[in-house]
Amino acid sequence: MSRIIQLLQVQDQQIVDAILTEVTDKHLEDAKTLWEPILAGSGQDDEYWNWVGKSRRSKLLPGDELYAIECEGVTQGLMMLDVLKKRCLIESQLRRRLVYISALATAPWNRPVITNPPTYKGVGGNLVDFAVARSHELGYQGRIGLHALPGALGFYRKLRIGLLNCGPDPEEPDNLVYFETLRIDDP
Amino acid sequence: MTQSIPAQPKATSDKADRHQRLLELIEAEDAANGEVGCGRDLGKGLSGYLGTRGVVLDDEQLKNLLREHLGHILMEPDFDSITTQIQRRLESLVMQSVDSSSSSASLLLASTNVTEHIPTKELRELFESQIADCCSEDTLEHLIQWSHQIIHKAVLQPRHTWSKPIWVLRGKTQIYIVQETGIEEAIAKVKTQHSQETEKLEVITVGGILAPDQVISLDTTLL
Repeated sequence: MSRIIQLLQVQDQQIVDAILTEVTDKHLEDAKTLWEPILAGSGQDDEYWNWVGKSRRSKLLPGDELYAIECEGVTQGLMMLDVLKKRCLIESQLRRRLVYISALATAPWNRPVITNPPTYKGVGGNLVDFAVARSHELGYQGRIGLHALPGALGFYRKLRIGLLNCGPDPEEPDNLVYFETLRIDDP
Repeated sequence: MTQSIPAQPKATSDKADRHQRLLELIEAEDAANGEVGCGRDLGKGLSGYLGTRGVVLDDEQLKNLLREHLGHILMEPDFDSITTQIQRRLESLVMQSVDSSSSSASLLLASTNVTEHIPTKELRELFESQIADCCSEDTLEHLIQWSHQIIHKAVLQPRHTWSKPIWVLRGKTQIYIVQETGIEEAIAKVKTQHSQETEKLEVITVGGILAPDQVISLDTTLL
């Protein structure tokens, strides 16, 4: 029930193996005890995210899934997907199914703005690639959608997975920019 | 929820390919100084509150009510949008009601003269059946009035009446701005009107997907 992925260990520039797996209590505990104290007062967009709460909520909603990346026994990234309730918004694929990334965050020590140099690189990208893989597995042709946090726009623009910047979403209270995978070749 | 982990695609099973992909991911991360987050910031207190109390509306029940009353005017994309907005509004209202710094006055509506496309009684019954035990009467009343506003706005401008999206495409030396239904039609229009354009066109952004009057914003570094 897990897959091996690769991360860059920044300190020695070595590529190391990590595990991408379904979220367990241990991952949620890491987020609470290791992440939250560092994020508190940091001003990061996810400062107040509560992954334990997200996990509880996901159990109430059909189609919500949580995943984690673990390396050296510590949670390096978390992601929540909605594989059922969201639909495509781009006209040419309107209402086709997609995997929506409800939330994605890396551990604070993997963010240069908090810890420079960061411990690992590649956590966020591996999580997004997994969302694409999950979309393929579900028969959604790899389509994903997400609302990027303001600081992460450059990341999603450069991922090379066909994400189209659809602009700020007026239906979002924070007007976050919406990205959706555009599939041109599909019937 | 239990689900399987997808197998790694063949294209990336090769070690060299995986390393190459990792380098691409790192390049993308570096472009944003390691910022990779996505998802809504629910604000202090709310995510925990929702997690423990489970303030969630059943989309399908709400959509059924919308279809029943507005199926002759609106279509499924409109229902998607309405239910999403109502759910978000509910979350914001709950946040206000649990945040002691928020004044109760902020729950009051700016306008109460909104056409009721769905009888208030039916909306109230639906909401009460799902969230009454975790919302105050004020919150419930505000949500109902807000829902009327959201629905009325959708009725005034149903999705199928929106103009065609505006696509911003980049060729080797030119930027093209095209109004067309889909990307393939947009590219075809460019090739027809600019026959010298033989290179592959890259989509930079699109406007008019999320709202009918959406302003397109382009980073000047993209030009």
